[in-house]
This record gives sequence, structure tokens and C-alpha cells, in this order.
Amino acid sequence: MIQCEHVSVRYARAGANALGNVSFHMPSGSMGFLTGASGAGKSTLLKLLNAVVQPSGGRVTVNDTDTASLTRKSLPGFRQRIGSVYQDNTLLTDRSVHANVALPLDIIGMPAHESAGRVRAALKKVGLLDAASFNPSELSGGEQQRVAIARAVVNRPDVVIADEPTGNLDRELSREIMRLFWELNQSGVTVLIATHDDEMVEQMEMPVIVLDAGNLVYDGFAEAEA
Amino acid sequence: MNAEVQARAQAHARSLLAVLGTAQRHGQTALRRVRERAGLYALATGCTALALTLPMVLLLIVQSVGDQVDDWRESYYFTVYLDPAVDDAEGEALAAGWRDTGDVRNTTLITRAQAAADFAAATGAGDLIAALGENPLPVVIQVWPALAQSDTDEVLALVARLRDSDGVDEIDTDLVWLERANAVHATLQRASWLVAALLAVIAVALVGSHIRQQLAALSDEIALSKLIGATDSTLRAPFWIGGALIGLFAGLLAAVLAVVTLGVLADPVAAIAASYQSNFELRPTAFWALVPYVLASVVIGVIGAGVAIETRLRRIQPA
Ligand SMILES: Nc1ncnc2c1ncn2[C@@H]1O[C@H](COP(=O)(O)OP(=O)(O)OP(=O)(O)O)[C@@H](O)[C@H]1O
Ligand SMILES: [Mg+2]
Repeated sequence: MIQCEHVSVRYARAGANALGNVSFHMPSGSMGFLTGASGAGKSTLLKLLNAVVQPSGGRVTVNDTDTASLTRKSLPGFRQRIGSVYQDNTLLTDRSVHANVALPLDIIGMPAHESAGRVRAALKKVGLLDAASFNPSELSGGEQQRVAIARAVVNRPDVVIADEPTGNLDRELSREIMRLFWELNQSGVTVLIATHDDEMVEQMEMPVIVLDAGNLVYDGFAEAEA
Repeated sequence: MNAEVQARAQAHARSLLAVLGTAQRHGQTALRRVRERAGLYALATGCTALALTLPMVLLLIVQSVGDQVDDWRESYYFTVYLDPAVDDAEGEALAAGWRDTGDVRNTTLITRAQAAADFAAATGAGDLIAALGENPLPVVIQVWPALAQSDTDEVLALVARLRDSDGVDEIDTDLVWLERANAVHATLQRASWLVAALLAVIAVALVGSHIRQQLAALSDEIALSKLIGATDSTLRAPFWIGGALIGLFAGLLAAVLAVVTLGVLADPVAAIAASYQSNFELRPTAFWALVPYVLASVVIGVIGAGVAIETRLRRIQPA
């Protein structure tokens, strides 16, 4: 579940609000897109959801947790329930693909013999089981993005947010990645994807939230309910 | 009931295993990072070891000097010359009386005959006393003050009291060398603690700057770990362990260097001491005697890591 109520964000050194009075509600298990021109505030909105950025006004609620109520103690557990995927995938090149995907399980202290099976299952889902022992730098951009998705889902999060996950990929690869997110959503995960790719958004026939200069100008979830 | 006890024991065992498992994981992470940057770790360890060697050597020398001073204190006595009228038996009674008081450890009586014999042996002028017909030397009592009274003031207080006793003529204290030894010991000790404190600060800074470099080099991994929900303690622990490892190996290396240094210095120092008619020597140091210093070094490593972690880790945040 993702909910924003009259949310605004003002960065310390910026003139205007990056987000102003944004409200929407995404029910648990739904999937949708976040679009808008460059600088509209898409990344800012996603950073609110994993509490990398705090709202200057309003309230952000994810998985029934108000992000403003998070403390140093409760923040890690909150973030463990959220999978994040970025355009420039953030894989670590000093270790194997398997070790990269295992990271979210390592940090919660799961022993290697327990996590290995789940890592393999996640890699299998994204079709990269054979690349487990590779270094990420030995993979193509699309393959790296699939590894990042495997890492985002390996700890079975409730919510997955993706910031332009297909930004560097061609049409065919983008479709493949979107199919992975769709499958993920079919298993009950709430998925929100920020993208520039209007054509793909149209094809996927899913609710869309449109931002323009920090303002919400269209809310596909509200339309769907109405 | 039995099943309940068993279940509780199993729960305890499980949580113990979980703690051990966590410690093992943090240890493995720390060791992996040491392996990945073995050169840098060796450099940090070597520099820290060198910084710790000097205070270790100084403190060991001070220990040797301190032992020597204690020996001197134990052998210190002053000489009480009794009135010529006091005979051996009266002198013995006096000495026995003093021996029973708390501030005197021991007394020895030198009879008039003995004194004459000593005088004759020392001067070769035995005939002189014989010529006098009557032994002019007084009875002498040597007094060893109680060990607790190493302070010269306390010795002087004892001397003043004894001087008032009936039958005492004169007391020869010869306190100068005891004072000198005490002063040398106190100076060396203070100086070495100052040097040790200074170098401990340097060692903390060395370890701290190394861990800081580590944190900077790993900032991507740390930011990512925070994004996916790593707790602060999970992120901290490997750096704590890394700092402790540098401290441990630096301490061990410094201990070896200190022992070797003392070994090299032992002979020349003994030669110098002999030229001053002293039997002073640098005591050979058993390696285990340095264990406290090695532990102190581990603490230094942990403090260094802690300083770096507390100042840096919070600043690394996912963007
Ligand atoms: N850390 C920051 N400090 C100051 N201003 C920022 C910061 N991050 C973003 N902004 C500003 O906030 C506004 C929204 O930025 P944001 O990155 O959310 O846009 P976006 O929709 O993701 O754009 P793009 O499609 O180019 O990724 C922009 O005007 C940007 O300059
Ligand atoms: Mg963006």
C-alpha cells in the first residue's frame, strides 16, 4: 500500500518545490506507472517512498507506516520491506552476481546455506541462473538490470519501486523487464515504476500517475476507482 | 514441565547460535576486506606498531628501573651510633625494642669488638686500637626501616624519634642516594606515561584515518546497504573488527620490537651500570608480560575505528 496526502518536498538549495500538494493512493497488490517530463519530480516521489527523502509537508504512508515516524532503529526494517531498482543499476562490481543478489539476505543475517536457494530462485525468475558466478561487469545492460530486479525481490518485499528501470535499454529488452515486473505484481507485490516511455505505458494498460513541475496532474488510481 | 525446560534450553541455544552466527558473519566480512586491501592494512598495522614500540620500550625500561629502586630501598639502612657508655647488652636490648615497632623492619647489632675488627680490617690499623688499651668504638645498630617507609620524609621522622632515645649518640642516614633514585624513577615514569599517552593518541589517529579511508572506499556499498535496510550495527561491526585487528597485530608487532630492542640494549646498559659500580640491568622481558600492552593496543584500534565510524558512517546516505 502506498499513500501520499498533500505531500510537498522542498530541497534545501532549490528555489521552487520539487513536489507540491501531491495526493494519491495505491492499494496493496496494485501496479502502476509514474510519468512526467524531466524534472517533474518522479525520482523525488520514489525517494519519499523508501524514506531517502522526507516530505516538507503532508504525509507519506507505505505498508501502513508513516515515513515521518521512522527512527534510526525502525528505518532499516521499513526499507527491508521495499525493493528498489534504479536506472543506473547499483550492482557491486567487487563480487559475483550471486553475491549481489544475496546482499539483502546477508544484511538481515540469513546464513549463506539458507539464502543460496532463494538467490537461485530469484536469478531463475529473471533468467540468469547461469550467470550466477559472473561478475556484473561481464553482463550486458539488460542483464545487469535483471540482476538488480532479482536483488530487489529476493527478500520478498511488499512494495517494489523502480526509477526508469528500462532507461538504457532497447524496446525488446524493455518489454522483457516490464514482463518481470508484471509477474512480480501477479504474485501480490505492489509495483510502482517511474518512466519516460509513454509508448510502453500505453501498451501495459495500467494506472498512471502524471506529474508536471511537481504537481500531480492525473491520477489513474482515482480514475480507476471512480 | 520437563518439556518446557527443554524448550527453553533449546531457545537459549538457538539465540546463542544466532549471536555466534552474526559475529562470524561480521568477522568474515572484516577478513574479506582485510584480504581485499592487504597492502593498506599491512601499512596501517606497521605504522601503528612503530608508534607503539617507543612507549612500550620506555615503560619496560621504567619497570626495570623501578625494580632496581625497590631493591635499593630494601637494602637501605641507617646507622645508629650509641653513646660510648652503652655496652653490648644494653645495645641489644635497645635494638630488640625498636624491632618490635611497626616502622622498623629489622635491626642488626654491631658489638664493640666487631666494630674494632671491622675497623682493623678496613684500615689495617688494628694496632692502633690495641695501643689505646681500651676499645674506643661505640656499639652500633643498623636499622632497616619498614618497606612502606620508602619516602625519605617518613625515614627522617623515624630517625628523629630514634635520636631522642636514651643511649643514642648520633645517626648517619645517608639519604641522598635514596632520594636521587626515587626522583629518577618518578621522572622517568611520568615522562614515559606522557610519551605513551601522546603515542596512543597518534595510534588512534592512524587507525582512525585508515578506517576512514576504508569507509570512503566502500561508500557506494554502504549507501546501497542502507537503502536495502542494513542496520547501523551490521554496517559498523566489520569496521570495529577491522580496527581491533589492526590494534591486535600492531600490538603484537610492537611487543616483539620492544623485546628485541631491550635485548639489544641490555649489554651496553649493563656495561654503563658496571662503570658506575652499579649492578643495574634491563630485566629480560617475558613476552606474556607484554599482554596488557597488546590488549591496550586492541583498545586503541577499537577507539580509532570508533572515532572514524561515528564521524563518517552517518554521513554516507543513499541518494
Ligand atoms: N538533491 C536535490 N537537491 C536540490 N534539488 C533537487 C535535488 N534532487 C532533485 N532536485 C530538483 O527537484 C526537481 C525534481 O527532480 P526529480 O529528480 O525528482 O525529477 P525527475 O522527474 O525524476 O526527472 P528525470 O526524469 O530527469 O529523472 C528538479 O527540479 C531537480 O532539479
Ligand atoms: Mg528521475
